[in-house]
Amino acid sequence: MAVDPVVVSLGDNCLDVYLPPVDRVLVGGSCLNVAVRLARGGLRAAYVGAVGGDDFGRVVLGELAAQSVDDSHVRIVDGATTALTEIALEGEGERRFVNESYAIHEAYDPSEDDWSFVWAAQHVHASRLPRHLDGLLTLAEGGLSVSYDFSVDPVPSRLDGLAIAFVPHDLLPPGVDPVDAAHDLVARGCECAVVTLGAGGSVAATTRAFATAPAAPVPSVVDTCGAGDAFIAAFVAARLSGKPLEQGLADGAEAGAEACSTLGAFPQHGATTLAER
Amino acid sequence: MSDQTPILAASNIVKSFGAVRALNGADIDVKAGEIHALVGDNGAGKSTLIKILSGVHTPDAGTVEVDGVPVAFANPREAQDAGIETVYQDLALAGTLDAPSNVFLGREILRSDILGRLGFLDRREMRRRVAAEIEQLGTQIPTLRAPVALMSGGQRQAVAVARAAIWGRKVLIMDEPVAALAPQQTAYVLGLMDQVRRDRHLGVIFISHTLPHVFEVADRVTVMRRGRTVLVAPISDVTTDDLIRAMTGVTEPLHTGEVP
Repeated sequence: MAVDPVVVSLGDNCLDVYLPPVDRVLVGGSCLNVAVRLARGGLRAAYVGAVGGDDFGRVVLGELAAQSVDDSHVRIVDGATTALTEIALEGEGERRFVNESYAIHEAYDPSEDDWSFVWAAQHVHASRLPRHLDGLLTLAEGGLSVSYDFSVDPVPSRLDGLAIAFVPHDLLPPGVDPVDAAHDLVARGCECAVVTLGAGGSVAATTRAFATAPAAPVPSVVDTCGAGDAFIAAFVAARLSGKPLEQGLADGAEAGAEACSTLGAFPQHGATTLAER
Repeated sequence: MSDQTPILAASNIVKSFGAVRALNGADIDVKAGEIHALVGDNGAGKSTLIKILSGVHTPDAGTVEVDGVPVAFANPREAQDAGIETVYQDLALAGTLDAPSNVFLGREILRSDILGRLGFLDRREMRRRVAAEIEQLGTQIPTLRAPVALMSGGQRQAVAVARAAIWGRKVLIMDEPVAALAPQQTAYVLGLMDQVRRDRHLGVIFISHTLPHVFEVADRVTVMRRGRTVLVAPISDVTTDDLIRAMTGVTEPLHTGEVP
């Protein structure tokens, strides 16, 4: 008998293609990264989204299985291409996205069965699904705990019922104070808002509490890719286990720092060069 | 007890949220003086069903009856006015207020003199009634003037139960009331439920994930799965295995015999 996942991560996956001289192809995509991080942390996690009916899609599915992430509701779309992100690594592990093909995710609509699967979880995390944010907020109104990562999508004027909104500070208009931003997000109706500042740490606010945390030290930054997703997974896990806000931020910072010290979004065995693919 | 009209009954309730059909034919009823447990997996629809009984959500289809009379609660206040009080998992207490203020939030007692007409609250009367209720429930709360945020989990739980017991005239709904409590506090809250049904003759609907608690206090049990009611039975007629089978939909025996 299949056991319902504790957390479903709903949204994007992709292959991270590290351009020469790094020359590696790894599995990534923010939502998939969050699912993998949660599973590595010992939670029953599922990833829900779409891959192409191509070799790359099989690579993504293989990595999900290797990481013990429930892939029962990953849709294989024949004729579509698995999403790709070309990444150039620059000094200090900063990454530059050279090119991105995300058409498969822009066209993706969860089925009724997918939504029922999401509903049975204790928490759903999502990103890059702007067309389905309203649907997620409707489930939140029904009592499901929902978090959304606004790293790419614009933040709507109302977030009523959302359990956690994650917003990177560099996405906000220049000069906006992160503390003000967190309070503004709470005023839009979400229960908890987290503004992340990368190496500058993070702030979180609820209607009743407020906390800040510095980033954790990283001895040698290899690749910042996936650090934000590791932060999100750790913060979500902390909230689900009832830890206080400060502890959630500290757990997130530690997970983010760890993710910066390895190539790719998470440790994986399938690292190959593009030519080998 | 079986020929008694339920004080609260929901039949064939349907409720959708977007693409999700959260309830698809859910039933539950509770009689005066009865503790009725509601169990089911995550997403089975327990919370949605009690939110309909307590006026938070309105059903898309189906009927809710109080004392055999159909009702349509437009909001939680209407359910409260009908005598139905709900204690949610998060307790919904205002942390900065003291226990009496929480109990009387939105239903404050005004002074009976001229100051009352000016909107002044009768804090002494409010404190007296809360103290009497909490004492009756057997709780120890050192000072009723402290903000509830400074109280222990068990004390906050007691305040929330006291509030529901003071205002609940017919039904008390408890959504996983002991999920976050230590064993001693758990025994205490289970005892509170038993007391309100016995002394005040309220019907109690009790959501729990912990089947031993269900067997300890419930008279009847309703099992939900995927938005439907799949089993209703007196607790003495079912075993833990029966409940787990109904919750999961697994029909084969849970425990196989010895391996030959």
